[in-house]
Amino acid sequence: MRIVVPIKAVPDLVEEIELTSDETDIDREFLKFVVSEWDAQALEEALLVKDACGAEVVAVGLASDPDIDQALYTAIAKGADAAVRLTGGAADSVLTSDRAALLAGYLATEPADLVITGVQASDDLDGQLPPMLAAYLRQPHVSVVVGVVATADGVTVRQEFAGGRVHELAVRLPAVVGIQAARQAPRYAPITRIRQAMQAGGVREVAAEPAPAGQAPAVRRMYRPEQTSHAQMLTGSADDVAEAIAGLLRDRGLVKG
Amino acid sequence: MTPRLVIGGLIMLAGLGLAGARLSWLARLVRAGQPAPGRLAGVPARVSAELAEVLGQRKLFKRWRSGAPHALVFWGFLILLFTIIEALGDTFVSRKFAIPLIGHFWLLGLVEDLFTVIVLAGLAVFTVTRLVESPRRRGKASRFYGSHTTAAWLTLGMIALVMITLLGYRAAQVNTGDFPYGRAAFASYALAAPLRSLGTGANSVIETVLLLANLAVIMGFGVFVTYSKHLHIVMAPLNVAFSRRPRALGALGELPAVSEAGTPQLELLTWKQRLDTLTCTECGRCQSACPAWNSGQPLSPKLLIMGLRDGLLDAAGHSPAAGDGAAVIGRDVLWSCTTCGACVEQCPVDIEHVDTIVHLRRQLVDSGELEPAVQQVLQNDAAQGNTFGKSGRMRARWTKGLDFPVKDARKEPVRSLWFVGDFASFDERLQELSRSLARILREAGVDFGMLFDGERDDGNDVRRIGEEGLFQMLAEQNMESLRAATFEEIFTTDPHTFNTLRNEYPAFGLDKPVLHYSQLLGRLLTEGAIAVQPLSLRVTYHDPCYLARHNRLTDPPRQVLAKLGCELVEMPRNGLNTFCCGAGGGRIWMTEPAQTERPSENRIREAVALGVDHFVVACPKDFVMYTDAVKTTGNEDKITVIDLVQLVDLARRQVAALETV
Repeated sequence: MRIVVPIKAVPDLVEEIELTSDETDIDREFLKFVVSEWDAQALEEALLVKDACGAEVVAVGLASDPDIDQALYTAIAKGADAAVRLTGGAADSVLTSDRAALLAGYLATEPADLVITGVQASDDLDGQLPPMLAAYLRQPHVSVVVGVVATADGVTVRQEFAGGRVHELAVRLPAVVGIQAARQAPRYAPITRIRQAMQAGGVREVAAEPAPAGQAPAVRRMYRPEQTSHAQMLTGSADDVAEAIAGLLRDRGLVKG
Repeated sequence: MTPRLVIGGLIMLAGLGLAGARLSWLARLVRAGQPAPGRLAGVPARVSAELAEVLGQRKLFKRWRSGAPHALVFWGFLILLFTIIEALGDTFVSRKFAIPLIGHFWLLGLVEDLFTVIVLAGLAVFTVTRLVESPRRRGKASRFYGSHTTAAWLTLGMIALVMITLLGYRAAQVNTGDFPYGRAAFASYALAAPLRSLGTGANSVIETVLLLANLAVIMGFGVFVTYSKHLHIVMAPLNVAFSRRPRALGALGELPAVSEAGTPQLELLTWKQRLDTLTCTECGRCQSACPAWNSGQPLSPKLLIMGLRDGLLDAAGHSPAAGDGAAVIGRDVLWSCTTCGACVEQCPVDIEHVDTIVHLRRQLVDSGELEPAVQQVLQNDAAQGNTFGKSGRMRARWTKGLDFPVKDARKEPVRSLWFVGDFASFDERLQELSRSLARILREAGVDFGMLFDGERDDGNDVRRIGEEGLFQMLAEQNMESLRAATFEEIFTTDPHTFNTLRNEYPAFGLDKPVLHYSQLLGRLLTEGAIAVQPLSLRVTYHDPCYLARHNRLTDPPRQVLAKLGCELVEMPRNGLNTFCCGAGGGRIWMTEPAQTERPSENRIREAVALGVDHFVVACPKDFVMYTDAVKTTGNEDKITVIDLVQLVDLARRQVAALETV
C-alpha cells in the first residue's frame, strides 16, 4: 500500500504575527514555520499503519512552504520511506484550493492507495484540504479520523463526533482521510537522525501540473485578534483573596447570598 | 615434609587455576565492550589517583566511620602479603624460610602481628556497621538495600578465618621453636601460651594443619572473590587507573558512536562501563546520597550498576540469546536521574554513573522513547532555541524593564559577555533578578553586553536528557553568535550554562574564560566597585550541583556572603556534598514521578532545622524549585528563598538609603 501524507508548514504560533501593510495577508518575512500539528498526527497514523502491515509512506510538501525541507527530512527521520517537494502551480498562493489542486496534479502522476493528511491547519480551520483533494481525485473521503487500520480490502477508520462518540467506517481504496489525532502521540525525531537524513539527501523534487481549478476566493482583508478581557491577579492575604473571589462570584450571579 | 608439600601444592594449583580461569573470562567480557578512547591519556594524573584513592583510600574517608576501618583492613592486607609469602616459603621451601633482604627482622614480626589484630578489630566494626545498617531493619533507607548481604557476611567470615589461622600457626611455631620472630610478635606469643601445654608434637601437627588451612582459606577466598562483589580488590585499582581524570563530572564523558536503533542496552556499554559494573562493591554510598532514591523514585545508582553487571554476567554466562534486546535497566529508572553527580562524588572506586545513565538515555531518545512533555520541550528548543515555547526573538524582552540600553556584543565590543540562559531570560519570576543584576553591573561600571536573539539554549540539560544531536546544533548556533561578538570573558546566570560553556564548548572552539555571576560579583565586591552596607542576616547557602560538584566552585558565593556581612550557617549537606533540588538533567521538564518527598522539600526541611531566615541560592532553577518547596512544605513564615543577586541588591540599597538620609 502506498500512503501519501501531504504536510504543510504553518507559522509557529509562539511568534507575534503581524499583518502586511495592505492587511490582506500575514507578514511572513521573519516568521518561524513549523509542521502543522494535525499533519504531524497524520504522519504518525500513517507510520502506525506502516508498522502494522508494511506500507510505503511518502511525505509530500510544497516547495513554496517556508522551511519545508526541515519538515520533510524530519518525516524521513521518523520512518517515512520517501519525501517529495512539489513545485509548480501558483507558487506564492496561500489558498487551500490551490494547494489541493497542486497535490491532486501530483497524485495524478504518482497515485496513492491512501492519502492521510491533517483534518485542518491553523490557517485552514474549516478543514477544506481533505474534501477538496478527494473531490479533485474523485475518491471517497472521511475527515475527523482518530484511527486507520488496514484490512484485506481497504481500511477501517474511526471517525470522531461530538461527545466522544465514534463511528467505525469501512473505506474502499483509494481514499482520502483527514486526521484529527493519531492513536498515539507523534514519535520524536532525534536531531541526529534528521541530520543524517539531510546528509543522505532523500528529498525528491517533482514538478506537478495543478489540476484545473474553479473560481477561488480572494482575500479582501484580515483582522487582528480582538483583545478580550485580561486575567486579573488577586493579591493580599489568603482571607483578602478569598473575600475577593467570593465577591466576584456574587457579582456575576454565579452564587447566591 | 612430603604431605605438606603435596597438599599445599594441590591447594595452590586448584585456587590459582579456578581464580585465573574466572579472571580471564571476566577480562574477555570487559574487552568485548565498545571502545572508550582516552583512557590512558595523562599517566601522571592516573598514577597520583592510584596513590591517593587506592593506597590512600581518599574517598573512603568521606564516611570515616566505615572508611577508616576499611583503610586499616586494606593496609593490613598489604602488610599481610608478607605473611602469605612466608607461608608459601614455609610450605614449599623450608621451615627456616625468610623473605630475601628483609629476613626475620623483628619489626616485620611486630607489624604483621599488629595488623592481624587491627584487621580483626576492623572486622568487628564492619560487623556492627552491617548490623546497624541492616536492610532488614532499615529497608530502603539502608545503604545496603539490594546489596548481596550474604556474600558480604561470607567475606567477613573468610577474612576472619585467614587472620585466625595465621595467628594460630604462628603461635604453634612459637611452641615448636620454629617461630623466627622474637617477642615483638606479641599476638603470636600471647596465643602460644595456652597451646604450650599440648607439647611440641601436638603443636607441630597444629602448625602444619593451620598453615595449610591458612593457604586453603586464602586460596578459597581468592576464588570466592572472583565470583562475588569482593572482586573490587582486583578491579578497583584497574578502574581507578582507567577512570576519567580529574573526575567523571563537569563535561560528559566520551561519546561512543550512535548505535543502530534497537541495539540491546548491554551491547552499548563501553569496556570501561563494563569494568565499572564489575568493580562495584555494593557499599551503597551512592545510594544514600542519591536525590532520586531518597525521594522514593526507582533509581539507585548502586542497583543500576549491579543490574548492568547481572545482565552482563547472565548474557555472557548463558546463551547469546539472553542479549535479545531486552532492556536491563528500565526507562523510569534512567529518567529519574538529575545528573547531580552525588553518586560519582561518593564512589570510592570511581564508577562513572552519570556518563552511563546519559549514554543509555541517548539510546532511548534515539528510538523516540520520550514522554510527550519532554518531546515538546525539545521540539520547541530545536525550532526557537529555547525551552520555554516562546519565540526566540522575545529572549531579551526582559531588558525593556531597564531604564538604560544593554549593549549588543555582536554590534559593539564589550569586556564581559552575559550569557543569560533560558530561565533567567524567560521565567517571569527570574526576569526581575536579571534586571537587578543588570542594574548592579551598570552601577559597578562593568562593560557588559549580551547576544540578544543570537543566544540559544546552552544545551547542557538537553545533552543530559540524551538529545546529543540537538545539543550539537545548539552549540553550533551559539558558537556562530559568539564568533560574531567581541568580548574578553563570558559570565552566566545559570550554573548549568556555566558548566557546558566552560567544559564542553571549548570542543566547539570557545577559547574565552567563563565565569559564574557569583564569581563576577565576588570580584566586584573585592575591587570595591559595588558599595554595600553589611546586611547582618543569618542565612544558609545551597550549593548548586553544577557549581559545586561539577565545577568545584564552593568558595566564590561564600565570599560574596562574607562581604555582605551575612552570617552563614551551613546545612549538614554542603559544598561538594550538596543535595540536588531535583531539577537537573532535564527532570525540570518531566512529569513529576510518584515519590515520597520531593528532593527540594527534603532540602528545605534541612534548612529550616537550622533556624535561619534566608535560604540563599545562586542558580535560577534553584530559585524556582525552592520557592515552590517553601510553599508546599508550609514554611513561608519561617524561611525565604533569596538569590545572591537580591542580597547584593539589598546591601546596595542600604547604601543608597543612608545617602538620602
